[in-house]
Parts: sequence; structure tokens; C-alpha cells
Amino acid sequence: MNESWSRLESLFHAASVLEGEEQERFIEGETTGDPALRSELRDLLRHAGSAGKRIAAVVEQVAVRAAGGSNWAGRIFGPYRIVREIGRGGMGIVFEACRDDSEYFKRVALKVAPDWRDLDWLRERFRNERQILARLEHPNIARFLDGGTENGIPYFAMEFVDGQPITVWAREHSLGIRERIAMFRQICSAVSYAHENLVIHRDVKPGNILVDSSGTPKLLDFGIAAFIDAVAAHTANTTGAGLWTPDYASPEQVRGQPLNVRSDVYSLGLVLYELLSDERAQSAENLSPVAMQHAICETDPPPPSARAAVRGDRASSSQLRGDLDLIVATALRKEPERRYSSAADLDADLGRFLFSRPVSARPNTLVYRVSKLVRRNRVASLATALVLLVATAGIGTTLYQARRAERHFQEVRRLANAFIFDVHDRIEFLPGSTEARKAIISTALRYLENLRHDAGRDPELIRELAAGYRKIGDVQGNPLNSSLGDLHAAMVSYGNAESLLTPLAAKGDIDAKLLLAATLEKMGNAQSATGKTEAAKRLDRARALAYEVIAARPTDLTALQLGIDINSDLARFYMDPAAFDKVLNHSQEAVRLAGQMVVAYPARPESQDSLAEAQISLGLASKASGDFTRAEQSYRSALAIRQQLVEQNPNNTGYQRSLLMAYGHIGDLLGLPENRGLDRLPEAVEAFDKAGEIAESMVRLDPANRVALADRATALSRSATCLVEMPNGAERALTNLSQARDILTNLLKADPSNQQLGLRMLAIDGLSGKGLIAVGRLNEATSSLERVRASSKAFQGGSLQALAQGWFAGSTLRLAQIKAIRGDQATAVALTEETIAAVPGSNIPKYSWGYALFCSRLGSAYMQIGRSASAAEWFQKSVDEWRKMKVPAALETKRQKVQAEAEHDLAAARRGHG
Amino acid sequence: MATDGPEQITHLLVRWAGGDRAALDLVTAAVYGEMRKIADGYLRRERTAHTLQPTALVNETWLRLAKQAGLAFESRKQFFGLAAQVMRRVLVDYARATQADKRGAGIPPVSLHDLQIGAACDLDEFLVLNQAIERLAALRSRQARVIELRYFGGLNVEEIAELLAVSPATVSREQKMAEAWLGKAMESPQL
Repeated sequence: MNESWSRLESLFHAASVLEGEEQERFIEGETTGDPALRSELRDLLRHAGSAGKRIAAVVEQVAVRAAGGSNWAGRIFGPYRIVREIGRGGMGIVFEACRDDSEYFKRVALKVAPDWRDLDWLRERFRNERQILARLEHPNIARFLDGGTENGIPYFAMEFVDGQPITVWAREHSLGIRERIAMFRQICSAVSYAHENLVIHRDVKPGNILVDSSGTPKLLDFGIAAFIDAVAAHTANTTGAGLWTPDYASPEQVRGQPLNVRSDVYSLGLVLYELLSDERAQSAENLSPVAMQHAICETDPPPPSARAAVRGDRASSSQLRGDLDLIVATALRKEPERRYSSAADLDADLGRFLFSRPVSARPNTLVYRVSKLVRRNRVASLATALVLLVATAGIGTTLYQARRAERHFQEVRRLANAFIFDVHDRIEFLPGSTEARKAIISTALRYLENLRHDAGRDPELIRELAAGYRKIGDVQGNPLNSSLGDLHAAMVSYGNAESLLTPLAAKGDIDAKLLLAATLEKMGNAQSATGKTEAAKRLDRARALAYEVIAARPTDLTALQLGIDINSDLARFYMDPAAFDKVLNHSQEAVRLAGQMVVAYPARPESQDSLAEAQISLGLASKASGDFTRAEQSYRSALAIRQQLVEQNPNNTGYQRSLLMAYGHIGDLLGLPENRGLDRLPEAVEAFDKAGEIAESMVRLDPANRVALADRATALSRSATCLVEMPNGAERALTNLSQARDILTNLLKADPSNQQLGLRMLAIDGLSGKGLIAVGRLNEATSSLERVRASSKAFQGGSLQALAQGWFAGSTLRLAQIKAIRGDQATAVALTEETIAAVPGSNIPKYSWGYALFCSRLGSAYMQIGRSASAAEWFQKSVDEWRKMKVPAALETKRQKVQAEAEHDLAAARRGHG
Repeated sequence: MATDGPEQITHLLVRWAGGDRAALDLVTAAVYGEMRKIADGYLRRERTAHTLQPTALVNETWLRLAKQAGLAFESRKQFFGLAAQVMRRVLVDYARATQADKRGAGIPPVSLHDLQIGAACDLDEFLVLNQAIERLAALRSRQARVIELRYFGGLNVEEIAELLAVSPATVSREQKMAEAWLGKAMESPQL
């Protein structure tokens, strides 16, 4: 065998260099007398040309299938039915799917995590993408619709973009270079928006940028995107190694190094290159791994103009030469620190090109040197390094260029204001960023001091400086910012802004007035905790200034928003029974200004949102002043606006929560009279149920959303508060309460020392006691009420003590009633005494419906244990309360009824006594 | 499993390079795990173009392991040699499992329109190819190895030559012969 094989082999090699008749003659000559060998040799030669391709194809087909291929058409995921596969990503398969309920027909892109993968990290990533998409809302990012799980397979639906890759679209529509740039800039803005939201895309390429029929480019596929903080924290395993596309990968991606926003800048650069030159900048096709690394990490592509020249396209070549070549080269630098620092910078430079202004992508040795320096002193976390890099580079460019042209001034301004502070805000909640933030502030202050020195009398520069001081004040004074919060330092910074702006404002500079008003508003709010008179003065001055600006510019969005804010501040500030007229006045002003904003900008959701917010404030103020009718009107109009906002922006969870809150306010307003409600309980329950449904859908979208979970628990227990007082409502109340208890138990597990959550649990136990008594389950009621008594002790000395004490008193009294019913007189007496002892410290409100009810209940308790003298005493208090009580007109009949009952009870107690 | 640790992989690769055959089984297990994971999460090519090349998968497994384990660049060649073998095993396992799946239960419910034309042939043909490679290995082990390195590891002729310590011309000849032989074997499989 071996021998014949060797013979076959040598004949094969010898024959394969021959062709046609020559080969045939060779075969016949060499295999005479061995027909088997001859036929085998012929077979081999026949396969020689094609076998390689065939083997490759067979292996590849299986590899493709192994990586997730099976036929999915027709399968159902939630409301969607899969139509066809449109693409595969590292994190799943994307299908075109449709939703064809009886309701409506809609095409969506459905992403599914294939089921044969049993790996946790994949599921994690899939959830990650869902979360990232849900929080990105941008006209050039494919919209997230909804998601869920079907038979254990997670999926989510996105806007279906029926389009072509941007490069193909540009070619087929013969777009000119300027049009291509304009289209590309929209993608820069989408990527930049993602970065602002702390998301790195990591797979920017033409195939992920589809242009729809209206010519709008959309960025899709965040399958391997990551949160910047996550990248910084776990660089080791979140770089998405192995999931990107080599043709559009950055050098750091190929090397498996940590990625940052500049990696996306590189990929954007590759897309731009392709758009401008109609050719790929780098190609990994048919390259061995080693060669691929070399191509991406070391080889600079020829400038786009050179490619055009090679094609003989002289016009394009000369248009590309110079700035555009330079912009592309800057985006494609192999060293991340020499690239544009952000997608926004790339975008801005392209804008400058379009408007024929000098671009910043000039070989800038200073910035290069500075960034090198920063790199040498690399700080532990990526975010910190990024911040310091930009901060330092900013200073470098500042001192170097500040005395130069206007354009440089703008750059400095942008660096100082937008970037430094944006970055500050973004990293604010990253663990361990305190030092970096301190560094930002002191750097920024130093920078402002320098500029102030040279400011002269240029009003624009003065305003910029003041704005800088104000922003620094915001950072310093932010009370949430415990590590940096320094009210005094903030006031100094605000004061600097104030003294810079006051002379300008006095001269009638409108912009200065607006800034000054904003600064004074900040100062007023910062002071309100310490000096009320000073604070009120500042806020009034701010208000007067804002009104002057609004008078001059009736459609200035910032001024209107500021006017609304100042009025809301003042309304909050005066929230005191003695000053309700002021509260109402300011709330109405806020509504008026918000209305003006809606008229000026009807299409902007922000203005609608402001109006709704102002209506809620007016509702609260009206309710506090006793005008329940107006309160209801305000809440209802806020509700209508917010319903519309949610309909128009179905993925904005902020609007969803606002809608939830509006339902909550309405529920409260219509709820129990002892909670200052209008006693329209079925309507209140309906409103709370709506709030609960919204919270539930938010939880479905993001099961880790603790705020939504807490909201859901609150809605359930508020609804139960009403239900338990309604005929036949106790059973439903108990169901709601047990659901709320489950949610809270889980929340408390993660956060056991959270007193707010603890208090809600206390309330659930108290309410459950009430409901269980109503349905006659006294044993369970007893243990619920005992739990309230035991756990309320934990609140002693805390800020929630009074509220907990209220639940303690109410529950103790109910327990006394149970004991009395069961004939345990002694315990009933002791518990009743305990209740009375608890009242002074409790939150049971005096001179109100709640207090009157409580007095009656105490009276009844004394009657039950046969102490009619004490009973009469408490019934008397109750009757006194009811008689002097002023209630909203809608409650008057009810008040008369309960007053009559109390009078009847009092008479009975007196008879018992007499 | 103790072999899962990335440091362990480096250590094993070093031992293997030093001639310790036992280390190979362990490191193979580790690489197999990694490759499965990556194959699972793979496929991120242009929508229109080829969606997966084993080449890229092997390269990515390298990147991943290299990063986790801090593998030195010198280990790279050994790694690719090993990875090609493992890649083949991953795909064979997949093809066998899927075929078993087809015969037995466990198929996800699909609609009547979904006939999966051609799907079965893919797997059969692949398994035939695999069998042919095994037969070839018995006859001419180096030729089988060249095929494996080329099609499952994505190495080019020069790289294979370096790895097998032969001349590129030899590799070319071996490859050509092996391809022709496999092409023939796939046409008339000996089952």
C-alpha cells in the first residue's frame, strides 16, 4: 500500500505540472498495464483544481451552523413572528419579524439569543445590549421597542431599518463628497451620544450603519457594546475580544487591549475613509492571523486622495487632499492618544471643513507631547486617565492658543465647559473617581483664574468665565456629592460669577442677565438651608432678572425654563400654611411660563414635560391650601400631558415614571379622607392600579430596576389602603399586600439597613392586620400586628420615628380590640393604655379627620373593655374634632355623617356611664 | 477542572513544547472550552460576506487565551498548531451532536414551511471529510496535518512550513496531493 501510494504521489506531482494531451500521454505511458493506478491518478488530477475550495466550503458551512444556525422562520417570540433572518451578531441572530395582532401590523428587527448556547456570559451580554439600547434614544440610533423571554430564550425587538449600508447607499445614490460627510456626521453624533451615555459601541462599520428610504442613517447593533465604567472596571474580560470585525477593528482591539471611546473614533475613521475613497482602509480577508495584526496595527492606509488619484479621479483627489486626508489620518492614528479624543471632535472638525474653517487636525506637537506625558503617568482607571488627559491637554491648548483667534477661544470654552464638566458628571458615580474629580475642579479653577486675568472687557469672555465659575459652583455645592460637597466653596465660585456678571447685566446685556439669574437661583437654593431671608432676596432678584430676559426674548427656552424653576423654588420655599397665597401665586406663574414654552415649542417633549411638572406643583399647592377642585384639575391636566408623552416616547423610562407619579398623586387626592383624600375610593384604587401597571412593565423591561420595584410595591400598598376600607375590598387588599411584601422582602435583602423600605414593610404589616380583621382571620391578624409592634422599635431615634410610632399606636389599638373580642380583658386594657401613651410621640395628626377617627376608635376600645367613662372622654374629643373641622365641599356630607355617629357613640357611652 | 486556569494553560503549553505529551490533553481541554465559548458567541461579519471562517475563530481564541493567560508571543505558533486540531474536534462534535439530534428528539418546533433543504447534506459531507482526513492520517500523517493547519487553523503555507520544520515547497506539494486525495475520497466515501 505504502509503496503504491508513493508511486501514485510522484506520478500525481509529475502529471499535475503538465496539461492537456501532454498530461494524457504521460499518464498512459506511466500506467501501462495498471488500469487501477491509471484511473486513480486520473481521479486525483480531476480533483486537484477544485478540492481545496470544496474542503474550505464544507468546513466553513459547518462552522457557520455550529455558531448558531438553525431555521427560525415562523417561530413566535412574544407578540412577534419571525419572517426571515437578516443577520448574525456575536450576541445573537437578528431576524425580520412582524407583529400582526388584531391590533396592528408592524415590522421589527428581532434579536434572539440562540438556545443551544448554555453560557451565562452570553446571556449576560445579551441582557447588557438590551439595557444599553433601552437607554439610548437618538434619531440616528435604531430604536429599542421591547423585550422578553420566550421558552427561556431571551429576545428583544428593535426598530426595523429597511436600508442599505451607508457606503452602498452613498455609491448607489451617487452622493458627492460633501453630502457623504453630512450623512456621516449624523453617525458621529449618534456615536458621540452613546459615549455621553457611557456606552462604547465597539463595532462601528458600514454594515451596522444602515440608511433608510428617507435617507436617514441609523446606527445599529450594540451587541458587543459596553459601558465605559464596566470597561474601566473589568478590562480583563469585557473588551469583547473575538467578537469584532477585523476589517473595522482598531489596533487596540486586535491586540486585545482595553478599549475606550477612541477605539470607536478609529472605526468611524475607517468608515469615513471608505465613504470618501470607496475603498476599505484595511482588509483582513485572506490574511493569516499574524499578517492581520500587522495590517491593522502597523500599516497606514494610503490617504483617500491617493486612492482617488490611482483611480484617475482627479476632481475627487484634489477635493480630498489636505484637510480631509488629514482628518481621516487623525481619526486613524495607530496610537489612541493621538486620535481625536471623541466622536464629537471628529464631527466638529468635519463641520469646520464643510464651513471652510481651519480644522484642528493639524500636526499638533504640543498636544501630542502633553498626552505622551499623561500616558507616562497613567492613572489606574481608564476614566481617570481620560479625564486627566483631556484636562491637561485642555490647559496646554488654552495657554498656547488663548490669545489667538476666536476659533481657539471657542475650543477652549468647549473643552472647559462641555468636556471637563461632562466628564465630571459622567464619572461622578464611578467608584474611586473622587481624586480625579478634585483634580478636574482645581485644574478648571486654575484655568479660569488665568483667563480672568486676561479677560479685559470682552463681554463674551466675561460671560464664559462666569458660566465656568457657575458650573464649578454646581459641582462643589452638589449636596449629593458627599465627597466633594462644600457649600462655602460653591458660594465663593457663584460669588465670582455674580461679580463678573452684575456690571454687564446693569448695562442691559441680556445674556449676562440670564446667566446672572441662573447663578442667583443656584445661590438662593444653596442658602435656603441656612439663611431664609437672604435666600428669598436672591430668588426674588433672580426672578425679576429672568422676567426681564423673557420680556426681551419671549421664546428663549433657557429663560423660560429658568423662570419656571425659580417659581417652583419659591413655591417650595414658602410651603407653609401662613403663606399659601404665595405658594399658589408662584405655582401659577410656573404653569403660565410653561404654557408659554409649549406655545413656543409645541413639538418639544421637554416643554410638555415642564408644563406637566408645573401642573403637578400647582396641584400640590392647591391641595395644601384646601382647594381640592383645582388640585384635581391640575393633576388631571398633568396626567393627560404625561400620557401623551409616554405614547410619543414609548421607550423613555423617565416619562413613564412621571406618568406613574401623576397617577399616584391622583390616587392620593381621591383616597382616604384621613390621608387628606376625597374619599372616592374606587377611583383612587383605579389610579393606583394604573401606577402599579406602569411600574410592573418597567420591571419587566429591566428586572433589576429597584426604583420601579419599589414603585410597584408602593402602588400595591396604596391601593390596599383604600381597598381595605371598601365593602368586599379586604380580600383584594390582602392579595395586593402579599405581592408588595414579596417585592419589599427582596429589596430589603439587598439593602437591609434602608429605613424607608423598612417603614413600608411596617405599613404593609399594619394594613394586613386591618384587612385580616375585616375578613375574620384574627390569628393571622394578631401576628401581623405583633410584627408591627416589634419592628417599629428599630425606628427609635431615627428620622422616621414619628411615622413608625403612628403605625405602632394604630396596631396596638387593633390588637387591644382583638383581645377584647376574645375576652382577654386584662391584656386589652394594658394595650389600650399603651396606645394612649404612644400617641404624643406619634404622627397621628391633631385637628384632622385622622385624629378624630382615632379618638372614636379609642372610645370604642374603652367601651369594649367596659370603661364607659374613658370611652365617653374620647368620644367627646372626637365629637369636638368633627364639629370644628373644615373640610372640602365634597366631603361635607360624609363629615356630617361621621359626626352624627360620634355623637351617637358619645351618648351611648354616657348612658353606660350613667 | 484544574486546567481551566489561564496560568495553567501557559504552564501546560510550555510543558507541551518541552515534549510532555500528557500536557497536551490538558491544554487541549482548556482550549476546547475557550473555543466552544467563542464559537458560541461568534459570527460578526458583514451581513453579505462570509459569515465565519475557522481562521478567524482560531485567531480570536488565541487573542482571548493570550490575554487571559499572558501567553508570550513565542507560544503563538504552538498554539495555532494545537488550535487547528481543537477546532476540528469542536466542529466534529457539533456535527455529530446535531445529527443525533435530528434522528432523536430535541428539535426546536419549526413551521411547515421550514424544510431545511440541504442542511443534512452539509453535516454528512463534513463528517465524510473528517473520516477521509482520518484515513489520510493513517497513510500520510503529515499531509493530514497540513490540511488541518490550513483549513481548521487558517495558517498559510509559510506558517505551516515553519511549524512542521519543512520547506514551503514541501508543504505546497503535500497540500496539493492531500486535497486531491480528499476530493476523491469525498466523492466516493468508504463508509
